[in-house]
Amino acid sequence: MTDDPRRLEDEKRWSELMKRAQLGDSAAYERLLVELGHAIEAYVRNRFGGIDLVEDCVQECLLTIHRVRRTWNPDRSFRPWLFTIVRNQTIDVLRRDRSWRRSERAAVESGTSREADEPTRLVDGVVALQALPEPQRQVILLAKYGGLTAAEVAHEMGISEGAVKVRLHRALKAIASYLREQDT
Amino acid sequence: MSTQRQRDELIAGLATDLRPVRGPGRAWPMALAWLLVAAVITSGSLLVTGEIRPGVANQLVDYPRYLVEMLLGVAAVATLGLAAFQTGFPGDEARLTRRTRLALGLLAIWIATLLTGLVDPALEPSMLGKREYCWWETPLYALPAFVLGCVWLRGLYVLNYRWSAALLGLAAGSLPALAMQVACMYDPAHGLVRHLLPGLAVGLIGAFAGRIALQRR
Repeated sequence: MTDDPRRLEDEKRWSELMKRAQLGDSAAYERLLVELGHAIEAYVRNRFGGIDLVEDCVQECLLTIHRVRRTWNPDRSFRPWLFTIVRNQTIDVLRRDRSWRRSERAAVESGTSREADEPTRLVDGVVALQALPEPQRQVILLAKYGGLTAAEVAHEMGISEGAVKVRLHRALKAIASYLREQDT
Repeated sequence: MSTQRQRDELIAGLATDLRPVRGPGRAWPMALAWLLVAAVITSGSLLVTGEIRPGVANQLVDYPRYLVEMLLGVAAVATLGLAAFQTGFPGDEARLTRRTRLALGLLAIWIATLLTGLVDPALEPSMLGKREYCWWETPLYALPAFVLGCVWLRGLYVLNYRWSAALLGLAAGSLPALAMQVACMYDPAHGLVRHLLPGLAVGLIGAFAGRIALQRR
């Protein structure tokens, strides 16, 4: 986990746009949502692959961000707030789409193609993540999905960097173990 | 319609006629407003259904331990309400953890002072001011505040429905329990069993009903 200058630039720009949006600046808000739409799409594709639900996830996240925009504190970082919402909404969309999960599991049962395996493993990964204890899940989501550094995660969670690394190690071990069990 | 065009139209729609938000990212104004409304509901209900224990104002002045006991209860209720509403503001886990620990800690200390009163009460126990149905008045007066809190929390972004509703239930239930300590008779055992326990039960109800009460998305 290292500082990425582009990430820092995004944080600074999005924070500023959101502050203006909270004051009622429509132009700033529109620009922010366009950028967030691209960022959310990249996040979903990166984590869940080329699934059909990408645009559903993006639009659901944008709607939620709009509805709860008052819950972002201008004195705090923007990315943790954003990716907490994105993570939860994305998982909700995937969970709700039962037909997607059923069809993917059917594809796995009928064949062993890599393409058929991958969405199911993604669902298993989501399930494994949800099964983690809350402190470990939070670390994974902030560090691996939210892109925060260890220091940033430690600050957000009010724990030491050492504790962040321990929780991350345990969480990754638990997820790997769960996925191995699903394969057998 | 292409997905990109759909998204562009969605964004344009969301940005049109954008209204400013008041007090962004801060839980305490909402928590304070809720506490005031809950206090009005509780005190109004108590006054309509009976009287306050005679001499309670003098007791608060003349018996510092009793005053401290009541102030601890006020602090517990206030911090529980604040922690409950803080759960609706995502991305600030450290602050939520601090506020939750403080709230539960104060609640534990308040309960501990009442338990201590079983051996060494702050006031001489008596039947003066006894309300016959205090044990169900407490949760009954808590319900409107709990429901109102749920409505307000649904407008935020709650991650863990059960936990948020449990905290809200504890706050909503502790307030009338605290009020009964001035409105009803003073006896530590009576207060624990017939005021505080029914009040804390509202927290349990919240934990069970959390998803139904708070799920919006």
